[in-house]
Amino acid sequence: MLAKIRQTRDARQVSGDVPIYHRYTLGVAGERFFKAMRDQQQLLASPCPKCHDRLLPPKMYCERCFEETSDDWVPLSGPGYIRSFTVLHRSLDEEPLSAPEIVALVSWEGVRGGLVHRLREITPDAVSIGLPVEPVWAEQRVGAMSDISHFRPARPG
Amino acid sequence: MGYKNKVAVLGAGLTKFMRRALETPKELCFEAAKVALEDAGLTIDDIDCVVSVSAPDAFDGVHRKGEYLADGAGAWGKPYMRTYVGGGSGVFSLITGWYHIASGHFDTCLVVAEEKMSPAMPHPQGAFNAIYDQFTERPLGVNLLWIFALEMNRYMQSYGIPMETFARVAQKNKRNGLDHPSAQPGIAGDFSIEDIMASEVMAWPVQRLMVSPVSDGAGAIVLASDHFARRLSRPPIWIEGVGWNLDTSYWTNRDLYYPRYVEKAARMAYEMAGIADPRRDIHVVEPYDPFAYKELHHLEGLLLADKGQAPRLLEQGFWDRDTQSGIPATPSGGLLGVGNPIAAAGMMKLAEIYWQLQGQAGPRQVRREIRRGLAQAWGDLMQVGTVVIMGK
Amino acid sequence: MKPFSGTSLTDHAVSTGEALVSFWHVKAHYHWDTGMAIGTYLAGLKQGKILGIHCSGCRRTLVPPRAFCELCFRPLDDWVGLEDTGKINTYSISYVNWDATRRQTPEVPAVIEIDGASPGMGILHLLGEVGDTLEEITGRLKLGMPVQAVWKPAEEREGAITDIRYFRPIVGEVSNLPLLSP
Repeated sequence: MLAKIRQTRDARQVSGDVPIYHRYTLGVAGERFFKAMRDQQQLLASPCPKCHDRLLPPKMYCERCFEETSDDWVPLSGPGYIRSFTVLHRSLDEEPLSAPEIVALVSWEGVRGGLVHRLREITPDAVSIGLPVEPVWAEQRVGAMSDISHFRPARPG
Repeated sequence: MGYKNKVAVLGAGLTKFMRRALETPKELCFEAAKVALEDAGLTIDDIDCVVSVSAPDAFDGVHRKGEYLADGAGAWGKPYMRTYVGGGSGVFSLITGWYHIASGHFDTCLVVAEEKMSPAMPHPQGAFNAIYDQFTERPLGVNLLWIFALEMNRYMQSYGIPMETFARVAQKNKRNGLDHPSAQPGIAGDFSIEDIMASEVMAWPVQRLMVSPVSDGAGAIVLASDHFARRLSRPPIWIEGVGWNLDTSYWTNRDLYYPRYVEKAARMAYEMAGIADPRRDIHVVEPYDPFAYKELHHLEGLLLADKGQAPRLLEQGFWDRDTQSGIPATPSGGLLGVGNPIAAAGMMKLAEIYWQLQGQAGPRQVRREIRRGLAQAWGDLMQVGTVVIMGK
Repeated sequence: MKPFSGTSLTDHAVSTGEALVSFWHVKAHYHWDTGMAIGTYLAGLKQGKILGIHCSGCRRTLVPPRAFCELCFRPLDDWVGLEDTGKINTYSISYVNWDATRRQTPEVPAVIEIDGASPGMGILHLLGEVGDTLEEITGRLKLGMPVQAVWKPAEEREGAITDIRYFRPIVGEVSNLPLLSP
């Protein structure tokens, strides 16, 4: 039953929604990571007892060794650095942004992985890979990535 | 049929089943996989490939569920596949793992099944709505319970089965579940027929204590080729038959009193296993029991009872766990007695058949002699039958 | 064997914030193309007609209609007008909504075999005018009972399955249908 539609108004469509939303638990590792951000303004990485990598975000297990990470999570101290970045000119709905926004992958020395977050207090042409950056903590923290408001170039001292 | 390898089951593992787990889907997979590897006496380095199953992405709420679960399933850097047939996935997982090895491509396979239903809001039941047809069904305000209630009524009235019989299935399975280490709190229990018959009507004739719960959980099994398995000290359990079948998705065009797709899947598995008389050669069975009536419905589809006769056999104790002359059905406690994290529930049934055949089911061990067992799952809109037969 | 793991979180832990959670609301909105078969079916409903389609291979007259026969795997275009009466194949009495909330008054979904289509060829719909309580409804309804569509008035129909409000029992003889298909 193939038929040619000559007028688009003859094409029938039915509209509808799938009305569910999600409430995620953060997981064994996630709870600990986000509570440290909320309560101590601290970022933690989890060490793998086999390969000795430090995982960020921390995980209950190292996927390469398939072993449980050890309990002695390591607080990240000092600035991180930009591993990669991009500059956004349009919003998710493809509307032009009033000012460009920078999204960066931030990591730390000796850590496997990194965090994706916004980079502010810098112009896009001044950003480079390797640039030292530090988190700016939000006033109100709830145990989510938004507990870091954004990253900015690391200040000396 | 020329398979390159016979396939053995080397170990199994499960997590607890819970209404809501702290663990993320990946963490649930990791937990189950570790127990299975340990049960098999192997490490992840011994594993050549990984298969995972999980039912609709809409539950966990990550819409690339297979890839997302991969590293929790030990698949980092390995050949990996996710397969899907709705609720049939749990048993289908082993079938997928089976052909990875039977084909001769791989010697070992880790099979992981996971479900985290709790994230779906306002209630996980709502996530099922999208499986119905968007034009001819959803606008009526469908809900998952409808299709089970419609099928149960048809089955019940086709044979004149009293409600007490279905209550008895729920009682049996919930009692059996008391001995299962994964049992979801509040699900397993010693309920009287009166308790069950008095439970609230959800969609008549379905009542609350005759329905399995919403659950989070995971399970895993390790498979290996015969030459790999024979190097280990413990005698392996073999996969002797696999079968799978889908009926038309037009479920309203079919007579729901009988699941012919389960029969076709079963026949495929029986033929492969060389079984001409299933009632003689299947010694323990785990039929899929998301609702109490479905266990009986499926036992008939599996040809272990004549049409309409599974209820009568239940009354005679034929399906009891400690039967000597019958076929123990759902010694694990099943979905009604342990819980129903969709894909992981089928895996739980497979693990049970494995442990029963190994004599490791502890307080759930059946009394009679067993050499072969069968696990079956079902899925979607009364559409999917998946069957695995294991033997010593 | 290692003991099984799993950390259960209570409703209490989640609602008090003792256990952290995060939410994701997404607008999952769809425009589904109906295809020619369902498009024609829905247009028929708008006209107050139930349409089926005939397969000359297996000789079934199918409803809901489809572009190809799934048994013969061949294309179809032999449209057949069906009756708007049928027989109850099975029904349920539901006190639960799609989101698991409880209903005060029950809904009665049913599979209705449509007259004019092949035997056993049913559609999902609702029954109405059957009573308000479990006792009334189970007392009133029998499998095999004839029913009649109750349509929305023409000006309210939109080309949807809901153009039929529900099916109601036809007062009269209950046919003694054999319930079991061969």
